[in-house]
Amino acid sequence: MKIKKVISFVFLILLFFLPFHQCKKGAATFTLKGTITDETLNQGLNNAQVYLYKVPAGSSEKILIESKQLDANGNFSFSFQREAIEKYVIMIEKENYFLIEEDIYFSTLTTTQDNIRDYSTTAKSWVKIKLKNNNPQTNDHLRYIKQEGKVNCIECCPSSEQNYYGDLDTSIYCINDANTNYSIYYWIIGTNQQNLLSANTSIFDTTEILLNY
Amino acid sequence: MSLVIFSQDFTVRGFVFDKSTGEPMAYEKIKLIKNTDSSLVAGSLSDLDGFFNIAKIKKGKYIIKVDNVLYKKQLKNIEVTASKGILNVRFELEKLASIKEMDEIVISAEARQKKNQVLISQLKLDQKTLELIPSMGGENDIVGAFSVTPGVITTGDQGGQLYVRGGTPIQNKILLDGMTIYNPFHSIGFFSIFETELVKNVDVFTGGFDAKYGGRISSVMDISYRDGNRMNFGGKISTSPFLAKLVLEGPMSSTKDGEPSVGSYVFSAKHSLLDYTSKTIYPSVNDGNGLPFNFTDLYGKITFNSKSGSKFSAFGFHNRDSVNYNIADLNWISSGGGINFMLVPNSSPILIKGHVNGSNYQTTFSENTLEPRYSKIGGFDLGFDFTYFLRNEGELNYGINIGGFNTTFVTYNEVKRKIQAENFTTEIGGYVNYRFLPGKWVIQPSLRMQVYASLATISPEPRLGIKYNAGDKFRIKMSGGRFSQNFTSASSDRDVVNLFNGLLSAPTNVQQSFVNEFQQLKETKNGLQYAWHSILGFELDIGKRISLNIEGYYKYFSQLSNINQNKIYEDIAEFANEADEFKKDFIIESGQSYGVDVLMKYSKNRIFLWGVYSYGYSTRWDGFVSYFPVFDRRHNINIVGSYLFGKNKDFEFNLRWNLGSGLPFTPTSGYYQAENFSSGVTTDFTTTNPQTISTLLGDFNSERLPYYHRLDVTLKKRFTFKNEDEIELIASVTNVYNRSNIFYVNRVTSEEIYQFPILPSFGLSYKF
Repeated sequence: MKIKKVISFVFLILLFFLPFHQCKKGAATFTLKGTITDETLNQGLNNAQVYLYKVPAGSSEKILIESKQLDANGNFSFSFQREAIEKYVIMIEKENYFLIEEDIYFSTLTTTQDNIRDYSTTAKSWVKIKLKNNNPQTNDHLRYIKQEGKVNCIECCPSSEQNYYGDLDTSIYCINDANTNYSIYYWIIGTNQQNLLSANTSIFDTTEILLNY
Repeated sequence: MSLVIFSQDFTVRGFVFDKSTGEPMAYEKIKLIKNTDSSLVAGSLSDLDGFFNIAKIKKGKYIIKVDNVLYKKQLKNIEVTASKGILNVRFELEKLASIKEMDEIVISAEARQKKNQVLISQLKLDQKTLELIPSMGGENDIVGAFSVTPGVITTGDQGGQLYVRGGTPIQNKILLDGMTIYNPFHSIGFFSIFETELVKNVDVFTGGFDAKYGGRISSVMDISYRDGNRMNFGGKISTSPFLAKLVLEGPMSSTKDGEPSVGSYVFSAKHSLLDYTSKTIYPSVNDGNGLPFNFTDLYGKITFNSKSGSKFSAFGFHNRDSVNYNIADLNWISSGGGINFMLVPNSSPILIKGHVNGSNYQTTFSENTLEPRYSKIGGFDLGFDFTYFLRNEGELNYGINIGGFNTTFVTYNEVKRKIQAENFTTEIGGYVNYRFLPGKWVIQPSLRMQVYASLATISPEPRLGIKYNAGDKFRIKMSGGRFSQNFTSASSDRDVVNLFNGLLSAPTNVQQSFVNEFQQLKETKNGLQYAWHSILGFELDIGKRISLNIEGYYKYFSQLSNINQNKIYEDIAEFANEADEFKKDFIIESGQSYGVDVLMKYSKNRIFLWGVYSYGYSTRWDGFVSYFPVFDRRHNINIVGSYLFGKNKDFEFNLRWNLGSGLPFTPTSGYYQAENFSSGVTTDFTTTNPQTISTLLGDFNSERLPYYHRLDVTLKKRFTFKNEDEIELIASVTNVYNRSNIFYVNRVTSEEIYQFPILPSFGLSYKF
């Protein structure tokens, strides 16, 4: 009789305290996964280095959390502690490929499932725009503007009108996504001479656009 | 079957009064014995109003009696002839002339309830017990009793607040006759607004309390005042360097034939004298600036009693407090009033209690350079409680409470922009509380439904208390439940000393989700605070003199709201990308506390000893990391001793020693010159010499201060005159061995500022 009561009491106690012994304690982790696509070759980017940085709240300092190599299919996966961080920055670097640098705001991450972030990049190629005034006069005026080609990158050539006067014999190197067209439209001001010049830039290589006037 | 049960539905009930004062006598043991063989049939304890009720009695002849060694024995013969009905009995006990009141330290009320109440994490104190604990200037105060309660931590001598088992001051509910007191403690930290002379009973619940109480998640301190003397005019005057006070009481009309007056009144006033005395008497305190504290307390109550025991009382109070440091002024004012009533319907075995009250509280904090900030709360509370008495001292009670609050909080940020929050909230609470005693068990399940109308949230709060009387001297008990609360503190939990004690309604400007320490993602709808308690304890009586109470507890604060100290962005569209944690006014935290409290009591004729050891471990989780809150004290020891001596036992010596392990603090990890770039970007920092120094802080609360310890003693000498008037001389010393307990350390100069040094004091009181 008495033993039964004691057992039932112990059972009650266990019932009371059990709910509190839950899963593991401590900081939560974020898992960040993704695939980097090489748009030029239409496959996963391989042999590239991926860096993950954190930027503390109210700061602009990037602190490296981890860096690793993408696998053969361009996949990456990071697991890192959830901290009081304003944002994370992911950077993917590969020689002769455009750099990927993206902000991942803390507020967009979740601990309950994998955070998938896919990015893509393209291989670099160059165009050599050779400008040659065959018969220079002081009031000669060349104007050209980019029609096709990569825009909005730090290394890119400007998309605005370019003006040249007088004698000219120079080459301008412009970066471009590989295997795409790069074209310029030019005018020789004061004449009827105007035209579209185009070239398909091949991967890792430099293609020439010759502008003779 | 139910017919059989109803056929024995006879109730004997009534009141126990003290004949000399007309005051109700609480916790008196009433026994119902058989006329024929003197065997005990049933028993009951009188409640705070002197009311007792013995239900479900069979037909027969009985003797009903009250036993108290200090009073003449009273027996009454009763005969139950009907199978149903109620018999009202009234006891008026007369004091035995041969026994003086202070002859023996009276056995505390809780000793009588040990077997039929769960009494877990609950401390019952009366005025006598309060007077055993030394206090500043020999003025006994409830604060002294709270601070020696197992599981309670105080963080300092000045502006110290009470932290109960890992809960913050805002999570403590302090009730005076059913009314919530928003700020019960004066800024000096030694004195409360309460008048010890009027205290009839204090119940301190440090956790796991039943569903009767709601609206706070950590603890409840339920204080009841007594009524005025219904027979004679009386009072007390006392003075000390700290304060002067006056208590007056008496009947409202003349008393005839030894019958107490229908009405009585009581009035008390307290005013601090530190403004006038502290600079001269205590030149060593605060660099000779004395104690810049000033306060006044007023309280008055009138009570009307009916013959049947029903009662009506009305009270009003006003409290004022101010502190004037050189750099900052703080003051608060609180006033209010209310009515309480108790009905004992003639024909029904039920007890009805009700209250209506309202109060206002405003606290203002101003610093030299800043606009004053203030926090205001006004509110009312209306409540009814019904009690049914069941077989074997079982009880069923239920009730409802409706409260409305208006909170205003005005503050200015660093760029002097006014931040104002005004809120109207309504809270409705309903509860059912059932206690039954099968065999050796006491089982008390209860349920509270707390409705936060303005937040459209209902919080169901199941609670459970169980006791098993394993033997005559050994009892096992446990309790637990869920608790919720609306109010959030207007100051951050991270501040060590906080004189600015404002209240805010649950904030709605909180983050949308919260990741707790178990890595679970929780949606947060509002800033209500929630906690779960679970407590397991043992009681052991060793002989008649020693009682031991050990309790282990675990509290999980699943949602806490706190002022966000990491806010760096405005909560506007421009910063839509930023996480809520950096732009909301309030953040959600969670926390865990566990520990063991050991209380040992020894009482023998002239000696009373009280020893408390508390082990506590508290952590808070801010969504990212765990940290130790400022009140996390690992070990806390309190020893209280009282000894009566002299021929007539008219000398009394009391001592209290407190030892606490170091509280956490944030270390300084380095300094740097605070270059102010006075010439903008062209400032030549290689040649300028900035005048100010800035500190680099280490990890939050990662280091510990040295141990805190302090001894206080009091010596009292009582002179009693023939007409029973009394003069008492009190000499007291606070911090007897002048321990330099750290108050704070100046981070730049490394100067250590200490808590109170040795403070001797002398007081005088006259009771008539």
